[in-house]
Amino acid sequence: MLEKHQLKEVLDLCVETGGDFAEIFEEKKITHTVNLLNGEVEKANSGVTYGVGIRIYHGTESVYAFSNDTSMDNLRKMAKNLAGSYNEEKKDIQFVLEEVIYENQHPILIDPTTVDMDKKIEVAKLASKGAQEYDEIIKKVMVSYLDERQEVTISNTNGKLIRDTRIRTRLSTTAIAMDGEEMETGFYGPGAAKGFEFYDEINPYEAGKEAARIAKTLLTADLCPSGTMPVVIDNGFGGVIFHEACGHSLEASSVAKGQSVFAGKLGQQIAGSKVSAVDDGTITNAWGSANIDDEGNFTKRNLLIENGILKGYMVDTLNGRRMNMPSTSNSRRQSYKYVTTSRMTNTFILNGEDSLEDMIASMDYGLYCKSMSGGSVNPSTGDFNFAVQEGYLVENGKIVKPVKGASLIGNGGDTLLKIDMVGTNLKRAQGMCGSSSGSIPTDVGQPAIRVSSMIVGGRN
Amino acid sequence: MDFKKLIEQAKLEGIDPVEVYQHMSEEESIRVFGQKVDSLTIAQSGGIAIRGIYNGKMGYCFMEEDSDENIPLILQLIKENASALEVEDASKIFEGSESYPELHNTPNQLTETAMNAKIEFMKEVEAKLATADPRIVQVMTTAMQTVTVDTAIMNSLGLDVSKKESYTVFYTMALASENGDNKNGMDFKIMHSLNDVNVDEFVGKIKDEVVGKLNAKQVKSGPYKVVLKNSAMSSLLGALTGLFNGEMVHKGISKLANKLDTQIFDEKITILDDPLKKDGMNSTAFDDEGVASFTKTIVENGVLKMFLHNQKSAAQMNTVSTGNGFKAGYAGQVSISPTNFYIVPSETSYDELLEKMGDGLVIDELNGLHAGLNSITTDFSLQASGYVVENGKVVRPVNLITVAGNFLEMMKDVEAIGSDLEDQLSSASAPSILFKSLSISGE
Repeated sequence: MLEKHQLKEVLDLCVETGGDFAEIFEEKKITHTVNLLNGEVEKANSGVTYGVGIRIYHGTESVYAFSNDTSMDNLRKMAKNLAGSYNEEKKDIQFVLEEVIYENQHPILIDPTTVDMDKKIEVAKLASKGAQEYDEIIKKVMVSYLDERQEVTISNTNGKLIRDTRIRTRLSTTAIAMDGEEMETGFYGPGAAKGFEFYDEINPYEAGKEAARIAKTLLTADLCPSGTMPVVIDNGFGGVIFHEACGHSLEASSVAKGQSVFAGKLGQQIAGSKVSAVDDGTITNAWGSANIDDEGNFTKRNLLIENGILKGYMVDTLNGRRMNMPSTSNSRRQSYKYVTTSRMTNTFILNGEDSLEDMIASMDYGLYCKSMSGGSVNPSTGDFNFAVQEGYLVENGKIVKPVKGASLIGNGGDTLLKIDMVGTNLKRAQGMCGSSSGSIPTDVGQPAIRVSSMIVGGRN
Repeated sequence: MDFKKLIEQAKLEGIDPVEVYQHMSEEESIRVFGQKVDSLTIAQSGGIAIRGIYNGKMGYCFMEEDSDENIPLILQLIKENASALEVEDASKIFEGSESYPELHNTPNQLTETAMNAKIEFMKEVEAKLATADPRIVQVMTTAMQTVTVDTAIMNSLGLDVSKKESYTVFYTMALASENGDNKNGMDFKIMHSLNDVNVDEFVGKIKDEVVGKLNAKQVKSGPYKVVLKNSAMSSLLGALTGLFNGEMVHKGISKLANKLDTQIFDEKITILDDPLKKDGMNSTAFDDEGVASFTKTIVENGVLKMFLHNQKSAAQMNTVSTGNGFKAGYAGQVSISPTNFYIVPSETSYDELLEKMGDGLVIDELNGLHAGLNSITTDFSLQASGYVVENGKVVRPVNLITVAGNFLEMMKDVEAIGSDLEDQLSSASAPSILFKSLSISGE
């Protein structure tokens, strides 16, 4: 990793030509993956990524360069090349780099880089066994074990020098159920910003079984009917509705330039009055947590919506300049190969007071979605979609049968206002979120909620 | 890194044969917003992936720090990863093809074009688009990305090949607004010089598209005749190329397993995978295992003729590699990907397709393909938008509907295929296709 005096020299070069701020992001990441097919190790891969990204601000403009040649000669060249974008007198920028020392909020008990491969394989095999033994209808089981250790050093012309080590662990099971020509898949993939101790807390066998249970349920499910109807979305990964319908549109990368449906709506009602939501990067060892964001700011718990009223956005420093708002410590990126920007961390709807039973009982004809499988949104129109993994048709207040193949669609500005019941069983779930600064780990979450009316796109 | 030294030391450690794959890329990406360079990224990066046979099994690892000091770590990781394997790995290190085809791509002059000239060009596009219609409230982004990639593969069996590829993609996205309704629209061009784009035409097309989407409404639920426009058809096909993937076939996960030489699609459908296509986004003389490329007919008049293979799946299925062994990023392992994979167009123009349809829908955008499409069963239910067509003419825009179906079923019942095959940014492309009936959910 680079020395303090080296960072200082490069930062100084960056602001020679009128740039008003410069930042260096240095990253080293060790990754291990193991893939199993039907309980046997099929692939194992590991390696190290290492590189540096340099960014210069000039008002609301910015330039960025990255490289994995981190020799001082190359870093000087990169800095000069970038600085060449501007042609003004040097601003009065003087700083001394001082390392910020802090207490790690996400302690790791067992660093996975110290764990033998055999133990990792053992965990993956347990998950596979859980799925394979669930039912003879389960014909294929794919398990993917992942651990990574990312070390970052962030320094900038405000004199900040700060480091973070992020360790993440995930165990994903995909189970395929087959019966004649019919084939369905179930997926379950718990993860955390934890080390190998994660597997003392979750039961890998049960995690594999959950994927198999979903696959089997789907195989026997009927096709979901289409139409506009009330929908109850359960906790955990159900929170993907908030992630798509609202979260992305509250990121400064959309809001700053007025490209979001929620731009200019602070203080206005944008959701049902029972809805309060936060983005919280501080939750101990959560999948989307870290000590600092990728600009070196300590993560925060940010209130987004309170009783339906829009209270805040998720802001990075560059977009913050355009919005005249401070950073909310939401700047994130996949790696040094991406320009960092405002992203979600752990984003979820807070508990309300309604019970899941009451919600289901309230529907004459509707859909109960137990688990979801991701979606997408166009933040500037607000149109979003997400797919139901495990759904049940409800008639006369009672669950009638499992249904499959449904997508829910809507417009964020409209759907959030239709959330009229919020439950008490808040739970988060892990996902990978893809956007302009790459694919990053985020938690979605919510208690069960009811949307009074949504478009259900089924196949029946 | 000294590859010869790495190969020698690997042999001493019992790793033989061994192969090094090197990937170096340079990138320049310019974004203009409000007549200013809003952001600029200049990058050079790369890495090496090493694989080798240890005790009869293939071990892999990757590395970005390009230093001889890493050689011991590399060899340790390969041994460790090889030792973990329990399934017989049919991957093979390849000694090389007898000969390699020559490509005839247009040279990319934009790697030599001054940045200022590119910026001026982008400012011109932005300014013209911003004033093209009063309902266009913002040009959201105008961006140009030029990437040059050097790839080299060298192994202890004598393979030693390399190539240099370069492409430039230019795109613009506009936001239109009327009565509180926002719509955005974008278009892109793969360019070789600044003269490749007629600015007025390019701007006019985006303007027509984005303004034409304003005030979209739903339609009633039910079955509709549908033209899936080339853009939407390409994204759907692209999400399902795994059906033809030899590894998925071998594992029994592809629904096309056991269907070779049978009628799987309507006889109007012919699909090629052509790595030698002039200026194709994925044109290449060899794949990431060093196997020479050639043009393949995958589906001929609806009959499945072959699957795509890399060395491993070919060995597992007693056939030969089709030169489709590619990595997703240098660090990944070799999997199977199409190159320029496309449905062969007909003579029927897009307008003629609409006339043939009479009344129905055009769908030009599908969303949520990563979630609303089951890539194994090919069942889908996807957010869609497009236009209502009456008497062969577009009458109004439609949004917030879903279109549902099963890809394998609908491809058996194709009414007509269009002539409008266009390059896409992904590997799959298709002309617009008229389907007799798809299920739409809306009001």
